[in-house]
Amino acid sequence: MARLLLVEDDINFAKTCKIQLEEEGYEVEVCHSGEEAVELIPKEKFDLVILDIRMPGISGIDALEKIIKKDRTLPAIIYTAYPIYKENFLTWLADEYVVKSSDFSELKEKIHSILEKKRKKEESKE
Amino acid sequence: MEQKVNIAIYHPDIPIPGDITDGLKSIGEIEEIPTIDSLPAGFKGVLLIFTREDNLPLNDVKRISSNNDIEVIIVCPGIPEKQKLYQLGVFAVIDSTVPEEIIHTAANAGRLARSTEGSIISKDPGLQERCDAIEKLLEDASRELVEKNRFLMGIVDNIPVGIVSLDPNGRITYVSCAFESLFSTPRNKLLDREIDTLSDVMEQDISTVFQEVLETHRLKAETIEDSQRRILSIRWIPILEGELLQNILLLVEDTTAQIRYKQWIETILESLGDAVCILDREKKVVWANQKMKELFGYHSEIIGADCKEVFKCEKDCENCPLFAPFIDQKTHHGTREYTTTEGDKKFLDLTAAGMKPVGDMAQQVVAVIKDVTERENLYNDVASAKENLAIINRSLNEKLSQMRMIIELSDTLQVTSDLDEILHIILTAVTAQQGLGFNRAFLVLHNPETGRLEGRFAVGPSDPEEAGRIWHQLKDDGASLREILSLYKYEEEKHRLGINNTVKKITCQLSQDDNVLVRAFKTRTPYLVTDAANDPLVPREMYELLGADSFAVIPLGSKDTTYGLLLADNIITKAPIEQKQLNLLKVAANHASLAIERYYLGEKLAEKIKELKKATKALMENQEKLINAERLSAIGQMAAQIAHEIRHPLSTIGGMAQTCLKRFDPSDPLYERIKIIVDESKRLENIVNNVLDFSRARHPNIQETDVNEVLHSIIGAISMEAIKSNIIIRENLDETLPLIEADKDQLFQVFLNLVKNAISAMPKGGKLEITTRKDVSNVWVEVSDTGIGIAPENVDKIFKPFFTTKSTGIGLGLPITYQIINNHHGSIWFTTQEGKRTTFYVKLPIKQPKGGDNGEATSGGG
Repeated sequence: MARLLLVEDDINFAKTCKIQLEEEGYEVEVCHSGEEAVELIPKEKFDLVILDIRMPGISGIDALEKIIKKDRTLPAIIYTAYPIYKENFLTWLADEYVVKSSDFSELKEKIHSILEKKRKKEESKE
Repeated sequence: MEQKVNIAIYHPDIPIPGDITDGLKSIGEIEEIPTIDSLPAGFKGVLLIFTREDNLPLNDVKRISSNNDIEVIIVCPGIPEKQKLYQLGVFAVIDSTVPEEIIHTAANAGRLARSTEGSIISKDPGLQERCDAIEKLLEDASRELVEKNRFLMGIVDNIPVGIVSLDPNGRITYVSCAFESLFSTPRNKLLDREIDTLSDVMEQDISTVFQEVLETHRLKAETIEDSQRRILSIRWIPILEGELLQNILLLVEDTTAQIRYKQWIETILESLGDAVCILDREKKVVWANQKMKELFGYHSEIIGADCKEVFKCEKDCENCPLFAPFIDQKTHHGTREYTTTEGDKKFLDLTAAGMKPVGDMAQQVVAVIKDVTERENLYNDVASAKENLAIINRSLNEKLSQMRMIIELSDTLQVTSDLDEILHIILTAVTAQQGLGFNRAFLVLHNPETGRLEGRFAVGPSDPEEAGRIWHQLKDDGASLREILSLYKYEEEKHRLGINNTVKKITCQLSQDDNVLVRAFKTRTPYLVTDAANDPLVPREMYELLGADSFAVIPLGSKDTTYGLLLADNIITKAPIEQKQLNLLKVAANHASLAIERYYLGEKLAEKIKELKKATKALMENQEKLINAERLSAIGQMAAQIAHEIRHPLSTIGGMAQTCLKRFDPSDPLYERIKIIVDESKRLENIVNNVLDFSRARHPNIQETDVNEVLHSIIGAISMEAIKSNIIIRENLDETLPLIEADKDQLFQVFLNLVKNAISAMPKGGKLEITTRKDVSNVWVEVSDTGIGIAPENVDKIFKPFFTTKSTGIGLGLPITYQIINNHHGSIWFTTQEGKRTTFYVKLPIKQPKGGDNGEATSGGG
């Protein structure tokens, strides 16, 4: 069972997202700020982190920067309401960039493919 | 042949000297007779009687003398009464025994005796009787004579001059009363005495002078001062009878008082400030004071000098005031010029009066000569100063009226903006009599279209008749320029003045270098033509057209433009054009040039103002566009913000609805209802996506774009803001920049963003520099400011979304800029020095890659 960390300040949206992903069979932990996520990462083990950009305190981009420093292998998806920064996400060391929508299928696909890639990578390692 | 004379000699008591006898013998027969009675009867000849005075046989002499045949000569030394003897008929009485005298007299008597020879004289018996009567008469006459003599002596005695008479032997024969009193000596002590006595009395050596006068027979005068300090004037007068010296008169006069008086007068005359002289009839100076000598530069004696010599005069004496008193005795005045030997000119005032008149004629003239040179010079100076003043006054008046005209011209030109009227005013001023006073004035202007000099206006009469009519109306001195102008206008309308036909015919090509008009125009030099008929620079037809022999040509122009020429002449009055008039004409031409230039400048200015208005309008339009763009941008950003905020709850609603939907079977009545929530959420989401699509970097509308033009319009739009912020903008735009393939509106947004950031980085002002460059395939744009710079900690963040250092804005400017540049396959980066400067570099490809992904930002809003 893959364990996901959702960093999202909007509580209701976070709940919706959690339900949607849990229905897909993922274990979903939710943080409401970048700082909280940066605290949590070394303590708990996650397979993937999903970050909103615009949040009170540090942005998702800055949080990711810090998270990567702690766990260089952790895959990350930028999950934002702004479609315009899509081209930049690679520079932020994120793996994917998903624009928020009531249709969560894109998110689910991207999570699936990242985890699949990760699993294959680990298998080939072993 | 000299005839012999019969001579009878009777000498009762004196022997006859032998030489006398011999002498007589040479002239005649001599017979000595012992007595008178022994004279032979009928004797014809001369009877010589030698006797002493007291022994004269008077009765015999009387008797014989009455005989016409006999002439009686009495020789008697010291004879007293000669007169009486002559009355008796004696031929001669000789009181000396000089042989020559006696012989000579005898010879004369002999001739007389012979002359009566042969005449018959009847011996009248009544002769004795008549003789007695005659004797009686003679006696009476003699007595009368003695009385007369006494009377005369009385008169002579009373003459206030001492008179002494001396005989040739120096014996004193007479002494006058005055002499007695003069020397306090009675005459009886002097009479019959020798001259030495006189010397003693007078305390002077008289005899020497006496001898001199005796020998020379000349008058002699001398002045002596005696022991009593009297000044005595002594005159010697020889009394001659024939050649014989009878007596010598000695006149002695005490002139002390006179001389003293004369000296007193002379002292007065010497002390006078004026020169005084006395001239005699010969016009010679007989007396002069010292001043006279000084005035005429005489160091030696002036007395005796000729009047003409003294005055260096060459004039006729007839009209000379010094000469006139000789004729009319009146006092005369006059002036004379006199040049000293040093060459100084002097003016002399002369006053002359006659003196010592004899009859109507003055014998001397006294002249007072006053040196009035200073006065005269002063007078001449004043007279010439007065004359100069009059001339200056006249010229000042002339100048004043010219000045007035020039001022009036200047004033009138100031308020006139119509070029034709300006030119008309100038020409009128040139011809106004109170102004420049030319008869006619022509204006020739350069026509740039035809390249010719063409006559445009003229003012002035074309013939004497017109001149008479116009000038007559202008003869009042007070006619102002305005009045003259209106009169000319009236005349022009009423009479169609012929001159305006003349001026239209003045025309010449600028290539005619031998034409005075062309030359004056090209060299910008005034010309004065004085002989038009023979001047090689005046073409024949021009001379015939103008008809004036002399005219002035003055160029009209400003510093670097020549507009035309001013021509002026005096065709009616034929007055020569003076330098003075020419100078004034130049002044008028300067005014004219200024007015013309002012007119042209005004026209130019109006054009510039029009252009400026147009530019301002364009600027305003640009600014409006910018404001619109900004407004739209703000709306867009706000919409994006709202859309973004909506998206979260929308996603939440939609997401939750989907989750719920999964729990219901489609046959369940709730399924349909939840499905509606899901669908409507999606629909709403699409609307939000569309709004976001509009605000974010759209799909670029690629077209040929001039980057310089984009930058230029941005600079134009923000220039006001820059000036307000005290920012200097420098454009270094490469004019050869090629057009690039780009979305013009997006580029505008990019550079506007960079420029606005630069401006807000310089709150205290500074320099904003915008540079464009190119290479083979790219165009480079640099936007540089001298602002606060970017802090090192922010350097990595500025392109990240939602990062901003500004209090306003949401931090999307630079990320969008980055996005747009990226979409154009270009790049953007910057260099910064905190507190000094920041430069953003933008590189854009000239050509966009074909067929590639053109940076489509969204991959669907999904």
